[in-house]
Amino acid sequence: MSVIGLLKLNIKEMFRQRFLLGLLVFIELTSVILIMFSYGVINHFNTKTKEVEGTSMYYEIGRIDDELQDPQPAEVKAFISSAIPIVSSKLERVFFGAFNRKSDEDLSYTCISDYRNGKLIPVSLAGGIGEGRGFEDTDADTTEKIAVVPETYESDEINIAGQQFRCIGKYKVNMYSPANCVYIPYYAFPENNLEVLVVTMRFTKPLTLNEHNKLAQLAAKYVPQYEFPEFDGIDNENDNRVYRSIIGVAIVFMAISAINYCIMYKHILAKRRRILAVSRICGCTGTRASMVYFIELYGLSVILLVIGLLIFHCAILPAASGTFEYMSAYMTTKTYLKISGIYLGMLLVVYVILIGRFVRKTPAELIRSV
Amino acid sequence: MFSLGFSEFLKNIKNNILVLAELILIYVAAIFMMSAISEQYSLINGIKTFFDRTGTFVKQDTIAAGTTVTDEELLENLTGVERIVRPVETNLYGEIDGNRYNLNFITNNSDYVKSIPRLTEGRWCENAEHEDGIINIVLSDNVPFKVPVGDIVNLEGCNFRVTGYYGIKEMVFGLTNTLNTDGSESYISMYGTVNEFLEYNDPMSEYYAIASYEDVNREMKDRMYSGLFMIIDYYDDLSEQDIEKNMDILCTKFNYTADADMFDMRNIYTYSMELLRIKFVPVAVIFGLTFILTLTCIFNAASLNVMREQHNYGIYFICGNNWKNTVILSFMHWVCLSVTALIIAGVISAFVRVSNLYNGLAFSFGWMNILSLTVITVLILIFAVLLPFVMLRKMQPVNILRNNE
Repeated sequence: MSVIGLLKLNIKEMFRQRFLLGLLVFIELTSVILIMFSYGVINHFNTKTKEVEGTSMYYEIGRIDDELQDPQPAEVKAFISSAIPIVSSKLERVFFGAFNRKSDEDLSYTCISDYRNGKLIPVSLAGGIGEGRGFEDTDADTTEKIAVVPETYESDEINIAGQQFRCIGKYKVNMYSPANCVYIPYYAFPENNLEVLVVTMRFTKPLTLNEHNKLAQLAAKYVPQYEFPEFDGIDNENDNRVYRSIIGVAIVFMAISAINYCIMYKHILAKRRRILAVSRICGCTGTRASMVYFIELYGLSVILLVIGLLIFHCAILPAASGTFEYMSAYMTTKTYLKISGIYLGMLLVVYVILIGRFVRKTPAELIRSV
Repeated sequence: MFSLGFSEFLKNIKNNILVLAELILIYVAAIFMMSAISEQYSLINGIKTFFDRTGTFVKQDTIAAGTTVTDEELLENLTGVERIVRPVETNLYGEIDGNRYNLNFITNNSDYVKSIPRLTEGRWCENAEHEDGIINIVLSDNVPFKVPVGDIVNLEGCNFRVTGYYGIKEMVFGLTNTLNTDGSESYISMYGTVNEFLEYNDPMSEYYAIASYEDVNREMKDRMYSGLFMIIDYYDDLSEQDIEKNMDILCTKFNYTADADMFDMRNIYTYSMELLRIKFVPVAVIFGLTFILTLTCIFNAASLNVMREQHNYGIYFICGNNWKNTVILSFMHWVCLSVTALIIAGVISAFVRVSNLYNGLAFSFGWMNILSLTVITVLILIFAVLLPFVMLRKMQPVNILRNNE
C-alpha cells in the first residue's frame, strides 16, 4: 500500500472516531492559546510591575568618555525627533542641556519640553518669572529666537552660539532655578556650536523591551558618543521570585501540554494497531509507516497551531489588551514564530518517541496486543 | 470493590505513568501559583497592623520638616496617640578582619513589623538566642568582610553576633533612601533594598545590618536615630475631628506639610490595595489558565481512561458488577493516582524548600495551598465519577465488548 493510500486510510479512521478527534482538537487549541496567553501575561506582568513601582520610566542618555566630543544639538534633536514616533504614547518630558565649550561664559543652555498633543511644549519655570513672561503653549512651534534668562542678566538680548536671541522673560533665581541657566524652546534651540551633555526622557509608563531596543538603535545612530541605559529589570527579590515562579508555571504548562499529547496520541496509535499490523503484513515498511503517522499527526498539529494562533491573535489578544495593555506590544510576528518553533520542536520529540516505539513492534506483537 | 480498584491501579501502573506525571505537574504548578500570590501579599501582610487602625504616615527627610521630631514631643502635643513606630538607624565604625569599616544598622519594632527578608544563610536575628551584652544582627551578603554565622564582632564598644545573611535585593522595612514626591505613597514606599543604595553610589550605605529590636533596645537605644519616616497610630475611638486637629498640629507646630510630608494611613491603604490589585491581576489570570489547563488535562486523561478500560468494565459487568460499582472502581483508580501524585508533589516541594532553588522562587505552604490542592483533587474525583457514568450509562456490555474486539 502506498504512503498516500495509508495516509488516506488513517485520516478516514481519525474522522470515524469523532469523540477522539474532538478531544484532540480541543486539547491542541487550548494548549496553543494558553501558552501564547501566558507568555503575553508574563511580559505584561514584568512591565506592569515596573510601572507600579515607578522604575524604568526615566531615561538619562549621556556621554561616557571625556575624550569624545559631545554631540551638537542638531544630532540630539534628530535623535529626539526620530524617537518620538516610537514612544509618543508614553513620552512625558524631554530635557537636554548644552554649553559652549569654546566660550568662557558659565552659562548652560537648557531645553525642557513637555510632550502634549503631539507637540514639544516649553515648560514654565517652577521658580517663577520675575520680569516679562515665561513660556506659553503657543511657543511650542516657534522657531523665533526667544529665551528666558535669569533676572541677574541685564540685557534684553543674548548671543547664543553666534545667534541673537530675544529675552522674553527673566526668571527668579532660587533653589529651583539656578542663576546660570538660559531656557530656550525646542525648535528655537541653536543647531550647532554647542555641545549637549545629556538628554533625559521621562515617560508616563515604562518602555517595553521592544521600544527600549528601538531607542537604543536610534541613540547608536544619532548620538553614538552617549551611553544608552540598560533595560531595567525588576529590582527587588519579592517581585523577582513571583516573576520566576510564574515563568516556572508557564514551563510546567508546556510540560503538561506535552504529556497531554503523549496520552492522547498513545491512545490514538493504540487504536491503529490492527491497521498497522495488516499494513505491515501487506509489505509496508517501518520507515514508511513512521512517515505516514508522522505526516498525519504533525500535519494535524501544524494546522491546529495555525488555527490556535489565528484565534489568539484575532479574538483573544484584542479582548485581553484592555486589561493587559502591554501584552500586544510583546506579541510580535517574531514572538509567534519563536514560540511556534519551540512548540513544534516539543511535538517533534513527542511524535518521534511515540511513533518510533509504535512502529518498532512486529505485526504479531501488534495483533497480540489488540 | 476498593481492593479491586487498587489492584487495577497497580496493574495499569505503566499505562498510568504519564497521567501520574501530569497530575504531579498540576499539583506543583498549583503550589507555586499559590506561593506567588502569597509572596505578592507578604510585604503588606508584614505590616498590616498599621492598616488595621487610623494613623498618620510622616516623612522625616524634607527641608520643610527640618529636624527630626522626637516621640516625646509628639506624644506631648498630639491627642489619642497609641504608639509611634519608626525604623531606627545608626552607623558605627570598627575593625573587622584587621580592616576598618563603617557599618549601617537598621532595626524595626518586631511587634508591628512582621516582614522578614528571606535569608541566604543562618537565622533571623529575632529568632536566634538573645544574650546580655550582645546584639544579634543579620548582614547584607555584599559586606566586604566575611564573618561566619554565630561569630561576634565588636564595633565602637558594642558586641554584634552575626546570625545570618540576606540578599541585597531583599525588601527591608524602613530601608528607603528616598520617598516619593508625588504623593503616591503606598506600602512599597516603606520598603527598600540595599541594592537601591548601591545604584545611587552612596559609599556610606553600601551594606546594611538589620539588628534585633529587642537587643538594640537593651544595649544601644541611645545611639539610634530616626529613619526616613514614622507612623503615628491612634486609638480606635479617636474622632475624625481629633485626627484633623493632630494633622493641624503637625503642620503648624512641627512644620510638616499635608500631602507632601504626611499622609492619612487610610489613603495609603487604599492606594496600596490598588497597587496590589494591579500586580495581582496577571498572577490571577495565570492561575485561571492553570485551572483551565488542569480541567482540560483531567477531562482528557479521565475520558481516555474510560475508553481504555471499558473492555474490562464490560467483563466486570457480565461477572455481576453493576455500573454503580464500575463508577466506584474508576473513583478508586483516581483516588490512588491523586494520592500518589500528591505525595510526589509534596516530596518535590520539600526538595525545593531545602535546596538553593528556595531563594529564587516564591515558595510557601499555607492554607491557600491546601485549599488549591483540595479543589484540584475534588475536581479530579468529580471527573472520575462523572465521566464513566456519562460515557457508559447508555451502553450495553455486549456492545462494549463487540466494539473492543
